[in-house]
Amino acid sequence: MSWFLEQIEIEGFRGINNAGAPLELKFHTDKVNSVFAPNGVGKSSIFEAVTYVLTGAIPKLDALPPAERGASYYLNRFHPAGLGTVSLMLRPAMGGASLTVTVTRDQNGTRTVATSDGRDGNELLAELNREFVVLDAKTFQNFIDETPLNRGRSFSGLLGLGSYSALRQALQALSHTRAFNNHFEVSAKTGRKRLIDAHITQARNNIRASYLALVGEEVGAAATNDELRAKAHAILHNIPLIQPKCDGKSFDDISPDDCLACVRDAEGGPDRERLGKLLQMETGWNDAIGALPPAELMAELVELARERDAALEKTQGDAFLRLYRLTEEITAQDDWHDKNACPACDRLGDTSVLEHVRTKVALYDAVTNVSERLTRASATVDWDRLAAGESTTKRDGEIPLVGRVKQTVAGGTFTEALALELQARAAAVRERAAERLAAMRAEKEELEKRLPPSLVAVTERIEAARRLQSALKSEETSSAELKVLVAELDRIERLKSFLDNASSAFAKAEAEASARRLAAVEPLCREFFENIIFEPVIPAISKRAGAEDLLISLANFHDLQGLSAQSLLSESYRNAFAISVYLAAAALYGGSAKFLLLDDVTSSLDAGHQFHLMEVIRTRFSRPDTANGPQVIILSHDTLLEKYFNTNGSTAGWSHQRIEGTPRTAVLPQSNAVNRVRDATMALLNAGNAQDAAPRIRQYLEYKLEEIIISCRIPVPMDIALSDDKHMAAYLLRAIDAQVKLHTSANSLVLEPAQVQGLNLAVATITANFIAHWSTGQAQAFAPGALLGVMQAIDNYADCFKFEPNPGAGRKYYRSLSQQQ
Amino acid sequence: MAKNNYVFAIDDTLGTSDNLAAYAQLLEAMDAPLGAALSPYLASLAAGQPVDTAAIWDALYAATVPANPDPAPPGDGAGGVESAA
Repeated sequence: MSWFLEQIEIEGFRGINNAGAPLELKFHTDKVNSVFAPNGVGKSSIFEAVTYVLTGAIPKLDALPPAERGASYYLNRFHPAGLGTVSLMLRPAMGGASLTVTVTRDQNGTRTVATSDGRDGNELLAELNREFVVLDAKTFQNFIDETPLNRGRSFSGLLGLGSYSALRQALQALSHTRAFNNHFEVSAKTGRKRLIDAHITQARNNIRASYLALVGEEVGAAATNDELRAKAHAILHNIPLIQPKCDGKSFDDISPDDCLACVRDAEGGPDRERLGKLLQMETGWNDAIGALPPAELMAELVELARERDAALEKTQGDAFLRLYRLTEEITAQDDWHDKNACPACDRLGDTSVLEHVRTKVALYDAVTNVSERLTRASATVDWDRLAAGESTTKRDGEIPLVGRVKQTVAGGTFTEALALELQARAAAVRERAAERLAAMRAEKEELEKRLPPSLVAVTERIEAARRLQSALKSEETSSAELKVLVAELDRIERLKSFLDNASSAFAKAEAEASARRLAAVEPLCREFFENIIFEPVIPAISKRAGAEDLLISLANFHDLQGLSAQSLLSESYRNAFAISVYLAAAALYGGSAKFLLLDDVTSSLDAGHQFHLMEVIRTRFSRPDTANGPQVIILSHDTLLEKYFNTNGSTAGWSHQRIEGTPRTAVLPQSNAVNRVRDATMALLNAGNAQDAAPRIRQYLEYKLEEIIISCRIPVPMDIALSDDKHMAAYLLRAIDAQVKLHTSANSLVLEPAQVQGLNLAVATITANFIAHWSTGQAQAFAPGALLGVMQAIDNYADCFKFEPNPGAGRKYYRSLSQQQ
Repeated sequence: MAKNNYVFAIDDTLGTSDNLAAYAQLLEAMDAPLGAALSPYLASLAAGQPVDTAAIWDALYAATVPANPDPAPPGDGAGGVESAA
């Protein structure tokens, strides 16, 4: 849905006080609208008020240093309530009832948004907030001067692609592999999976060995754990000595210790008891040795640590990384023309700074990559069991190492030296454990020789059953953990794949739309530019596929091709280039806001080019000449441009108004509100406030004099429009007086003798009591009583140019100084 | 999910919200639960609001939970010794 702007009301905002009587500016939706104001009257305040309504900010205030307290200057400093209120009355372009959006800001900076029909005002304003709705000369200067990247981002907004560009960037951030993997700890989880896999393999090896020792046969290829349990249970249950301990129990519930007690009872003695303990210890040492990291893994850790140390050696810390990245960002931009120039020291070298810093950044990337590999590898070490093995085999005076190394791995300070130390310690633990195991086995074999063979066999089967129980439990626990972890990794992979596809599909769509719209904008941009400049200069805009940068150049410059726009064009031409781009984009890809507010956009143009630009806006861009074009509202302080406004203001397709006022009191439009100006002035004078009334008297006087000149068709000198506000009224009076005298001499004056006398009396009062002081800036000379007389004299003066056509019909201006009607 | 075979095109005749709605449909076609979980974020992401990627990742990850997880067969272990090796 698109909207026209019908009216703005402003109170208490920036340079517009208007306490209790908001400045109301009505706009025609089917005309070009222009508003003229002398400097310091509040024209830019209107622009800033609309900017604030749409964007929630006034950039120039927000950019001030903190000490300037820019935020406190949003509101008018003289408004008694300290509350700024701005209302936009919007009319649907497709027809229907108008609605009003009212935005307020209080002294705490709190912003509220309300709508007359209860809809979500913020949502509506967000739709209206397009890059081309409020434009000033600074916008155009920035467009040319910006980096290609920032210009490209602005341009995306111009093409109606700003939101798509924002979404693409957000999707790219979501699918960024390194950040994604860090968030989900993918490296650690992958390493953990490898460790669990190793646990399962070891447990299955233990199952095979203990099953063989207990049952006397190999595990079948398709055998399930339950089948193994059943067979193992049957073997134990068939041993009469321990049968009572197996009755009514599952294999897992059979207690090997209870079974061994039966054997002990059958043939007691310390040898039997020692054999049982040795068998248990043998199981424990076998498990401990199996859990130690294999030599290959330790060698891999040493190699990775060495690689990482070497990679780190080539870097210079985080501060330099930030420096290199920033330098890369700057020198990679297209407008950094000399890649051999260093942005930090301005020196020019023989080689590319960009290539140099990219090489440096690659060194840091190498550290990151090897660190990730190290994390994955170290996650496959069972640190707790390695530490337990170290503790069990510790020699006197030996300092524990494993726990300390584990911390360095977690903290990213694992070095090759530590890796070598760890490798040696792990090998020592393995060697010592193997020695202990061999000693136990020797002792066990010696005992077995001394004990009856049958009971030895029973004891060995009971211990094999214990090992099988443990191995089955370990395998099942690890398998369950693996299942959970694999499911987790599958979900993470599914999510990553989804984000990659989502991001890729959207980026491609945005790039295509951008290329399509750019191709459509360029011809229209050239047409506008040509009709502003009228020189053999053709602008060009382009984007690289997949890049955000927008490049500007000159396709033709007085028969030379492919030249730099920034380097060749004067400020006025650069602005004309930018204006042409903005107008073309707005014409083709306008959004919900079917209106543009232009503030002093002609400031860099001479009179001729101002005229050309206005004609482009009037005849090729705006309503009503362009039926589907936007409604344009032009704000200007340029007195030459006001002549153009005045000329067009009397035509059907143009509406012009002028505002006057001061930040202390009120800003009011001159047309259609002159009575309000008069009433406000009288109120100030009656309150004894001559200081604030004086500017209003000038406004009222100028209005009435211009009204007389226009109504009575009084010719005035061409340059009268260029007069400043101190002298304009005097010049207007002088011009009227000259024509009165001329017609008097020619005996053609239509005014009655009493009116001529009245003129002289009124002029004397106005000149002596107001103009004489106003033109010299002596505001302290004003007295409220005298100024009340001036206000009356102004009305009397105007009345001298009126007559009553018929009794009771009311007075109207003469048709001219020589013709009554 | 197969590597990107999904195609989306911005329709110049439609407004942003309509195009985002069409994109949301594509997301749901890619992966229904994930598409449904990401779609509510599209408008705010497109509005350029600050992106809390961690929060979005967590929300999306939560959406990958199977709706009806398969219960483990009763009394079954982790399978045969060789079968999962």
